[in-house]
Amino acid sequence: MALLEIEKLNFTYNSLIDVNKKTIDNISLKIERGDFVILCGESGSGKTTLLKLIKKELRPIGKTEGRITLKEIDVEKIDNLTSAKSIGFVMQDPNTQIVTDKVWHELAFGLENLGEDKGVIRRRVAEISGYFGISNWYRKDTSILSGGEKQLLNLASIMVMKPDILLLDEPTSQLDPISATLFLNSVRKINQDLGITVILVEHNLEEIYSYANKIVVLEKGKVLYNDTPKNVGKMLLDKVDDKMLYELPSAVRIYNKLNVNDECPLTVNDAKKFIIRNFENEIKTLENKNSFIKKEIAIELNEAYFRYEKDSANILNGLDLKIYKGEVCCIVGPNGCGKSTLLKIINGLLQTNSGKIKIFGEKLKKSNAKISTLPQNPRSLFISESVYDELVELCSLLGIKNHDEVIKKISNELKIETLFETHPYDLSGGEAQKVALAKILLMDPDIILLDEPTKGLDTYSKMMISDILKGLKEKGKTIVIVTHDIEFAGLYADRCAMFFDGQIVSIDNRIDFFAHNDYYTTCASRISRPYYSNAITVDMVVELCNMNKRKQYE
Amino acid sequence: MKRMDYVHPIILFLYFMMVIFITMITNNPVLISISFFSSLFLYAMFTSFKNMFKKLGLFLILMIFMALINPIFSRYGKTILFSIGYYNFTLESMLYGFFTSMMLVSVIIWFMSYSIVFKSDKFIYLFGKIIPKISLVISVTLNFIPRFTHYFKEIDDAQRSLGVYEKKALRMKLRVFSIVFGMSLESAIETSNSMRARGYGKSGRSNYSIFKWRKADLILGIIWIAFGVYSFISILSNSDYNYYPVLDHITVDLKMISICGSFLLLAISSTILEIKENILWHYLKLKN
Repeated sequence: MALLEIEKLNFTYNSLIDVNKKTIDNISLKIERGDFVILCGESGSGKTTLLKLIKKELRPIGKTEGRITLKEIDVEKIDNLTSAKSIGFVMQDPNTQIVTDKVWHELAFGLENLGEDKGVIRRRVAEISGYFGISNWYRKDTSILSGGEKQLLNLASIMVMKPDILLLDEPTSQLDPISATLFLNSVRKINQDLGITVILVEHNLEEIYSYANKIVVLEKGKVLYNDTPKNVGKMLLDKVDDKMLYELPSAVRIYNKLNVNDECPLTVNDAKKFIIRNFENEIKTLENKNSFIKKEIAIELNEAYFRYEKDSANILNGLDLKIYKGEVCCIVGPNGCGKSTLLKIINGLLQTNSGKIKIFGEKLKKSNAKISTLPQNPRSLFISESVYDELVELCSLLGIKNHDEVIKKISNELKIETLFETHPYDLSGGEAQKVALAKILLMDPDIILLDEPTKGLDTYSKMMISDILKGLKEKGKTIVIVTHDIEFAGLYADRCAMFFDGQIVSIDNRIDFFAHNDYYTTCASRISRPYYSNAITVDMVVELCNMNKRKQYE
Repeated sequence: MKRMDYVHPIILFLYFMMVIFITMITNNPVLISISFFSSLFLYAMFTSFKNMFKKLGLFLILMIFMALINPIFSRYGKTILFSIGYYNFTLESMLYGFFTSMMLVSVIIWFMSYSIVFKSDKFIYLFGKIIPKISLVISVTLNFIPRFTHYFKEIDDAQRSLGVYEKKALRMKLRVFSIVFGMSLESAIETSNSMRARGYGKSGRSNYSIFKWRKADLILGIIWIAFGVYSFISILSNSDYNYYPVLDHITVDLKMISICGSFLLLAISSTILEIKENILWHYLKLKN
């Protein structure tokens, strides 16, 4: 008997304007003990809703039909304690899930609720801290942990209750890539070592895809595919233009575009072998069409030094940077190295200790150029009850008279008219990002700075954002993006810069930049080298493969 | 780690409260001095002597200042030392100012040491014993405070980097507060979801803590309470020390010695514990 069984489940939100639109449409699923299931699909396909329906404490308000059973008991009828204990749920935001102020108290919180006695709690908490390697923080305050550490603590404080099934709702969307990998590896370890059943909703499938033994693809509340990773990769073969395809790992996407009768590769290593097995490499490189034409300098930093405290380490350490008008420049680099600080210095929020900053050849203070920043969390810009009020409010603050006209123009550009009535907090990640961008555009800036614009977005939303940025670039705006997202930078930047140790250590057009990096580079680039060179996106690799002859087998 | 750090929170709390309370109810210069020097020593043990002397300088200035200023407000006392114009500076009045401020300073220093060892988790544990719900409320609140300060910083930066800030500073600050409020409410809802998902709100909740009773805690507790209660009762039953009109003479009798002795032992015992710990530590290091 399956551990978790979903039978003919239907769900409609009460609050939706269109009452007949089902968020979950006749879903039936069987999940066995020890399964590692990845739920994917574009945003709004009902992944999170499905996950929340399994946990009765988190059930959204609406009309439910059909049933979900855990160990043959209806989830709704499980008694409260068992439900809390046997179904673990990790949410998106690492911060808001943490309840108490000390790490040890957080770990014990669930067990306290279950009414376990002191001795049991002490043993279980000790065990779990050892298992997750967090014993060093045991007595620390939760507020001083980093995002990745917080999320690991959240996982540990769920696991301490010994759940049968672990539900994770985009747990890595707020983390940097390294913490995300660390976190997902812990999840995998739990599944492998302890046989805990895992259902994971995730956008970034590049690494985790091959770990799963079942991929469930949702589309508009329906199950589109439900099979092993390899088979799902194959099934998508005939749906080359499907939006879903963009979510999959580079290896699978390359396979899909090449139409070769071979097994579907899942990892970088598999894909490398796959290409060598199937294609010649007579033509080794693609011509670099991306040569960058330098124009007027928009931003110039010269030997900039900055530190927060007199005795602390330098964040900027003699940084030199030139950014040209009308380019999209991505600054990539490890976590916490000061990329966001750099943006704050460019827009004048912080002053350098020494060094010069010039904007269009003038000193920062004297410059008339407008610089606006899109913050990491778009919500920190939202103040009103609806998206439309949001824009009107800013217009009145700026003293724009004909605000109807201006708002119409900008929202047409960003395609957000349909969201006008929505409360800003109800927007999805991509939508929130677009509305925040609209607010930025109302300022009519010459230079736009973006701090991690792709954080927590699905691939489709990322594409929308990049289309908008392209449009802005054509209008002559200068765009500087600080990001962890190498794949995004590889696809859309004009130039990329590597920030390390307070300096820009390399800056080049994106193809040369990623083709010369060995570790810090896109998956496609890692797959194709050293067999091919200069191919940094999936499309480029596919183009190269197609230019070469197929290998013939007897 | 300090020795006092792993005294059981209940005993630790009792200790500080007894010492501080006794310091506050007495006006006997000997007892106040005992309290003053003991508090300084303990503070030096918790931080360093260098740090203690730095603080001491400031406090001494305060005490001398109070000694000089008291005669202006209080015209009592018979022994006139000198006069400036209309004001007579009497010995009694100056000493009264000096020792009263010394008492205040001692209490402050005791509290400074207290806050070094008595962190929020101990506080929560202590009050969790009395009202279990309160402890969780405090813990949740203490978790919320840094989160809100973080929100405030984040939103303030975001609004300022929009580029409209300077023109309307007050209006912008109000905006920031309003956004912080919205985001905090939103995050509080998620936190409460997380609490429910982990089974909060069911009856039969237990209370976990990382503190354990040791034999040493009991012994220390008994000794401290004995000294504390004895000092307290005998100070109350003994008549007050009077500064005015002339200073009371301090008679060195058995009673006086026993009061001062027991309070001295109580107040200095924490320092002795720390010294003992340091010696033990050096000894162990030498042995290995």
